Amino acid sequence: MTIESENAREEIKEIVKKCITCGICKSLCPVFKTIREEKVSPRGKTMLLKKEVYDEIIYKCSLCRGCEQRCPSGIKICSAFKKARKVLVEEGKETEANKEMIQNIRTYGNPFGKIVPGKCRKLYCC
Amino acid sequence: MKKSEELIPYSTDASMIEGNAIKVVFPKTIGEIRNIIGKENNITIRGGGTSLVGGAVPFNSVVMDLSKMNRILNLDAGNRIVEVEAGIILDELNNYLEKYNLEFPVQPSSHGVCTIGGMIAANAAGNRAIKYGKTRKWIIELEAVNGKGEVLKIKKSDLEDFSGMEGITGVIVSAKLKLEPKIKRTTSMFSIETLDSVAETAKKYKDNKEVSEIEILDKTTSSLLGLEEKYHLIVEFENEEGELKGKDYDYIMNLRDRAYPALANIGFSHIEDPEISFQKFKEFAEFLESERIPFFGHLGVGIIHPVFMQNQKNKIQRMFEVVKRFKGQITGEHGVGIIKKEFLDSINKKIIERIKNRHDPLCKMNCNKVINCGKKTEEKIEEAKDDN
Ligand SMILES: Cc1cc2nc3c(=O)[nH]c(=O)nc-3n(C[C@H](O)[C@H](O)[C@H](O)COP(=O)(O)OP(=O)(O)OC[C@H]3O[C@@H](n4cnc5c(N)ncnc54)[C@H](O)[C@@H]3O)c2cc1C
Repeated sequence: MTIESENAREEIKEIVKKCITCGICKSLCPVFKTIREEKVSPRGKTMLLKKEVYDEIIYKCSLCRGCEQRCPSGIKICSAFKKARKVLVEEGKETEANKEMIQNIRTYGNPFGKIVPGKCRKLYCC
Repeated sequence: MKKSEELIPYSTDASMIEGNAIKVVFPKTIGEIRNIIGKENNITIRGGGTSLVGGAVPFNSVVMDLSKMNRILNLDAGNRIVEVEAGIILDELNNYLEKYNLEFPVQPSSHGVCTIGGMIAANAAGNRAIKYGKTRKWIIELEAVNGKGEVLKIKKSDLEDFSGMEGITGVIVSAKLKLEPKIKRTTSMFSIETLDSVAETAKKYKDNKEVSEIEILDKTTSSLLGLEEKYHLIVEFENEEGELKGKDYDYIMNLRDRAYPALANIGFSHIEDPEISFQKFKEFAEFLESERIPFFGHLGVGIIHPVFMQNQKNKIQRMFEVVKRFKGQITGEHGVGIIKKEFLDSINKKIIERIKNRHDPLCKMNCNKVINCGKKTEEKIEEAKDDN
């Protein structure tokens, strides 16, 4: 664990400890609405972070901040997920798609890779 | 992620009580539900997971999550009847009905998350109970699978076998519901200095047929929500009488929905739901204030929500004694779950036990919720084997 990831973990702990598991965050979450499983809901992922489970599942979020808009406790949920992604990257646990996307940005200046006119590229979710 | 970690999100609900799931399943058909009941011995049913009494918390059990059974099966707009699967979220249903100018009128504050199945199981009420009552009143028919794996069509006369049973008799799979025309509502908010005037103002609106909710916020709740440190009464009208309309109306309704979470956020995360008669409200509120217990609630129907810190068991006990003295009910809408079993009176307990035994003799469904099963599930299975 690097100092950066340790610090990020501390910050995340502070953010998620305010969650009272009311579940109201689920009401605007497009990821939950599509997959309909608690584990991908903002509440589910917040519970995982509370227990310090850092996993690829944290990428299952569009960072739309719908949950933050609804969260009655005013928790910056998406901000916690963003920081958690940082931890995942620092600790080498990011997704293959993320690695490929970053490589594409470095090589081609865009997340999709080499642009061939008329050819559709694979899309990645950040 | 390890299998055990994947189950963490299913280990609790809005009660914050922690249990442990051994597996989670997402049935999509009656056949799958029957299969699961056939195979598993200890099942916890889950809808939106907004129970405040630990109803959806598993204890060494398989979580059966109904979230993926969320279809609208049929709408008869002319006769105002809809048939839905149990996992549909109330707001999803009402958003769909909006284009037909219809709505399901019972509305708990958790409307963006709670499912129709969960509402039926808990017989949820909510802000508009003064006009629309509780969920059961709006059910025409249910389809359910009981703990024996039997598929049942439950008619109006037998609804109590499932509605209000909090999942201890079996799984509600789908429901045929009555609807109401969608109404444009307005609201007025009254900022009030004394409990006497609160009671007086509420009384003025209580019997008005056009009033669909009368909500109270105490001084603590009001100031947490950014209002003046006074009592506030929110009165909702089903006509143009309210001063706040459109966006202003929406703002106040959102504010009201944030009452409990705002209190929970400062440590008052244990919520109760006693029901007392309107006449006793002032005395009850005075007691709560003397004990420094913040509260809000559905004053129109006498369901008050006092909130407590997690370590205030004695205060809760004292409050229950007062509720009993006022001949009120310990739970008005959240149900019994695992935290209020001891307060069920013996007559109710006997009735519930009888219904439970009829539908789920092996105690497979929501074991030890509402009533104690008394025996371990394994022992019951052995007993059933012996009987055969
Ligand atoms: C912020 C907040 C505000 C709330 N406001 C209100 C309110 O105003 N009024 C009110 O009445 N309640 C309120 N509640 C409590 C809760 O939302 C209701 O009890 C709701 O009906 C539960 O629905 P659910 O889908 O979340 O069910 P869950 O919490 O998942 O389950 C509740 C119970 O029903 C059982 N169950 C769920 N689905 C089924 C099914 N298909 N078949 C059989 N059993 C099933 C579960 O096993 C459990 O015992 C509130 C909760 C929160 C967090």
